[in-house]
Amino acid sequence: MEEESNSSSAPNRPTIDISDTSSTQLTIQTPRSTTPNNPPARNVSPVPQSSATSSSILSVTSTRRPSIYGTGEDRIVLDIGSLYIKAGFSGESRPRHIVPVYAGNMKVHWDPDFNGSGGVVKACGESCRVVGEFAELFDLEIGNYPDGLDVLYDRLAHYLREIYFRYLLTDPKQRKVVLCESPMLPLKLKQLIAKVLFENLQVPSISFAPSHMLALLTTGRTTGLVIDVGYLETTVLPTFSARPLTPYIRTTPLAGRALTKRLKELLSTFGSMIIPPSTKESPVHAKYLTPAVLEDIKTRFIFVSPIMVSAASIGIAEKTLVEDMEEKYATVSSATNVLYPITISKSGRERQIGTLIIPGWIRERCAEVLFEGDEDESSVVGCALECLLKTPIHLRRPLASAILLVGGTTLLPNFQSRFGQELLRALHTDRRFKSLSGLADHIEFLEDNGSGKVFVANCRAWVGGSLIGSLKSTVVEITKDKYNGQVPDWTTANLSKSDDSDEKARD
Amino acid sequence: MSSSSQTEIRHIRPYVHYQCSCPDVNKSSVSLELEKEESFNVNSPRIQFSTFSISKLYFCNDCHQIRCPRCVQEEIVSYYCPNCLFEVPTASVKSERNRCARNCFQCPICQNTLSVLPSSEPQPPPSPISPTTVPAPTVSATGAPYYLSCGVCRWDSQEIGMTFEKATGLALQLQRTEDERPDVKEFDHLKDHFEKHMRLNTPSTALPSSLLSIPGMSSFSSRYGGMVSNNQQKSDDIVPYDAVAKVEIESGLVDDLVQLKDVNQITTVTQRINQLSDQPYKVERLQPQRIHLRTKRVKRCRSCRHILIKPEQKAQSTKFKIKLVALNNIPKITIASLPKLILNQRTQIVLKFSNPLDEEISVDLTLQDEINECGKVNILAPRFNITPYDGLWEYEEQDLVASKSRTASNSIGIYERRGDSTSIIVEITPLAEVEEFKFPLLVTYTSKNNENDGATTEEKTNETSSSKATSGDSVADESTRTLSFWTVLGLGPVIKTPSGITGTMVTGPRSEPSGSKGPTSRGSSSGNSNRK
Repeated sequence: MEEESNSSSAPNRPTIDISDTSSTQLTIQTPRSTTPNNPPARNVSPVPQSSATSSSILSVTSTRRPSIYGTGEDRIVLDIGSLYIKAGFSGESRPRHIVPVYAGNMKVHWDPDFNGSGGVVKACGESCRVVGEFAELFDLEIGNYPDGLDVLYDRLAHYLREIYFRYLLTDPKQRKVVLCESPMLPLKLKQLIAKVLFENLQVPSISFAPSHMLALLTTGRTTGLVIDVGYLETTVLPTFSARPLTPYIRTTPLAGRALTKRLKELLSTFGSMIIPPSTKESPVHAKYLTPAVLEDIKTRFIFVSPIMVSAASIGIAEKTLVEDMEEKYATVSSATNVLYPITISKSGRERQIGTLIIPGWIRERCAEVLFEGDEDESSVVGCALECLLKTPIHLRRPLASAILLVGGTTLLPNFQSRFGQELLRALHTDRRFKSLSGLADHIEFLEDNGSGKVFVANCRAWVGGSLIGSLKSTVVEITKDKYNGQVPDWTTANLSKSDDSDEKARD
Repeated sequence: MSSSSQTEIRHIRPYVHYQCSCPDVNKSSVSLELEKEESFNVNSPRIQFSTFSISKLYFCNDCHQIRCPRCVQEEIVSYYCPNCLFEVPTASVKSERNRCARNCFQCPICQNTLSVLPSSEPQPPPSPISPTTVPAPTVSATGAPYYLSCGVCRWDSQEIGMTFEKATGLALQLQRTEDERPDVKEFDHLKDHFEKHMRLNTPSTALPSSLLSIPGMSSFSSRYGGMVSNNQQKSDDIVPYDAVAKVEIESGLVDDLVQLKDVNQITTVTQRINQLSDQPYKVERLQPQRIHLRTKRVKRCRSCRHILIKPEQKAQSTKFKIKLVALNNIPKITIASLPKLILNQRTQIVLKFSNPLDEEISVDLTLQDEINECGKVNILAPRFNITPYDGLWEYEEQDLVASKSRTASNSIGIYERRGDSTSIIVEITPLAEVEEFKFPLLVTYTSKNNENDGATTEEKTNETSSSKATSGDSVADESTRTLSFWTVLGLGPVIKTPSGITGTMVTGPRSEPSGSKGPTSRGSSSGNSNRK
């Protein structure tokens, strides 16, 4: 099945390291953030002209026929995010379910009456309810688990079991799994996911697929600059001819979580509440701004506006202190204030206890945080341009004219047009990106052409996984028999290597 | 009391949760845990995944162990629609996307079940409020007479211009629009595109191979990094792709958001994730979704593979062919009386232990050695017996039962003995103002099986169970069975001063269901026993 495909490869391959024929992983000695104190590798230096064959694992099998009942060969495609798990079957154009896991700390076992502070009841309208306090499923920093990964294991096992038996209604033992993985997902988490799937659910095999690449495939292209603005972080990964150029990856923590944080700051500073019987507006107490409320406001009422004229004339987007924002934005914003009902649920029944007044300018300018970056945290745009800056010169143009924005945060209305604006502004005014200024005329977004928004941006990685899973090919997978606690990863050479060599690869 | 402080009240109900140690599951996950039973930590966040209320637990007779949802294996027996109770054949479940293919829809707004209603008079096709809505599937010239309506939130499908000619087979009537959705078409086109591409490029050419080398995709191939020629690039890249469908952003969305007045015009996340085809922002683009199917499942013990739960296949039936639940096999603990817990004040609570077995059991209670940071717990009667379960108890008059059994309850710490249950007194002294007073309790019970002498099986179970019994009371007698399990008792909040007592919380705990059988406990509001 597997062959080394070196017939046409470049002559210059100093450090090819293929030690296991069953593996397609190559040794790439790049830093990887798995330790608590190292921030995610933001400056992964490209491996100079090294490491590279793409070993072919592609083989066309023509024996497979699509079954009329659609059973048997379909795989389960999972995209496990820190707030939502997307799950479904390969060969379908959209996930069957997006399961919110942020509300699933499960204080009391699925008791619909339960409501602690911050507790929400998410009726999915279907066979299950997710109850509990807000808790991100995982964090990218392994050090943020005071209790170790055991709790995460329990949670993940619980959710995945629920997903299989209540949503997908299928036996995990019978279907292979395609897992969309972010390149910056810590290896430990990846191993944990594999562990849950293999040991707890006993799936027959898992294929890992990089989510940026998958997202790109849904546009029909194989070259592009994929910018994933998710919840925990923004990752920019150039992909050329279906090859993710992982050494050029750039990340910034400015993403959904930063947006939520900003929203909370703004609302507690400038928002107000009316709590009957009083009719006066009082300041917002932080306890009402539960993560669930913030998530709801964020996904429903926040939008992105173009660069303000005054700010644009200055050039580089400067940071505004939260305290000064009202002065800066409130007068020029035409967005209406929104009256948002705050409810608590008592014995299963929702009861409104007050009204939160969300000033219109907060709705309009909250997302500024994503474009504000500084030396430590590049803005989303800065991150993309830094990535371009690192790529070889002749790749820049094809990449810049094939930008794809994916991830839940990019669903904010107008996000892409603002992104384009910021991109042009940075190219014209920021001295750091002077060498890229020639690209200004070539910036193009993939969603502007082709199929447009036919797939929703938060599902694109999943759809790509579904596509990959349905193609008549054998994809490389680790099977349950071969699983020994290790998973293939771009930071490690192959499956059979032990833990300490993983450590070495990371160091 | 200001309304702001009202929300501060946390409604944590008192509970008794039983721990399942999932011995077989934990064995396999080696590196993660090394949890000894002695170090049972009620504050560990893992507890919520390993403790359950008794109604969620099973009992494997062969292993003589409690089984929880984590340590059973499930197999799907049948699929059915929870609304019309139609049993869906396995073959069509997947093609119907796990949803009811008949007439059952859920409201796009509130996710309740929609009903099909005839419009009172034939009307012209209703003009949709928004021009962006999907055209009604079966708009006839005369106007279709049926529509879907939600009895809860008053939404009806005429709002989005969706009407039906016939009152049956609605899903089928909608099927056409479903199949023509742009994402479905585009996906198929993409699939063809890449399949064709792969046919043209056999593996040996290796050029586009990394496309599908799934883990290999992450392998960076830098030989194209610096010195690749344009020619190579061309040959390597895939043929240009032309999309068949195009979807633009929701028109006027930003303007609408800017001028937003009513929060209900924008969909919630729940509404969006119920309509994954486009996840719209605007409420008027929501469409009714078919109701998700449910399953009946067989549950097996993970270690011995014996069936614990086997439902009847028919969707309408609520019976089980096999039903081995913990409720019928281990003593059930109910909080019978729970006064308000006040800081530094000794309070007596009553715990009622019910015996579901046909044999008399003796119960041993052990507290954790370590000091509980919530306060002191003292069990006055750590050892007691419970008379066997007898169906007659359910019918006997309450007073009669009481008078009959009260006489026996003359030992210290026993609140009362009645029928198949024994209530005991536990003294609680809260030492910290906590949101929830909870303490672990190790329950060991021994059943005296004096009927048969199935020595061989008994011996086996004794081995397994006695290894688990940490209280050292492993029984060698062949006609007895012993099982130990941890429980966690949550008693609600501890308050500082007694001044705020309103009595509402006192009644709360008794809403804890006190079981299917026997008269409900007559917990006095104070825990004082009136033993003789």
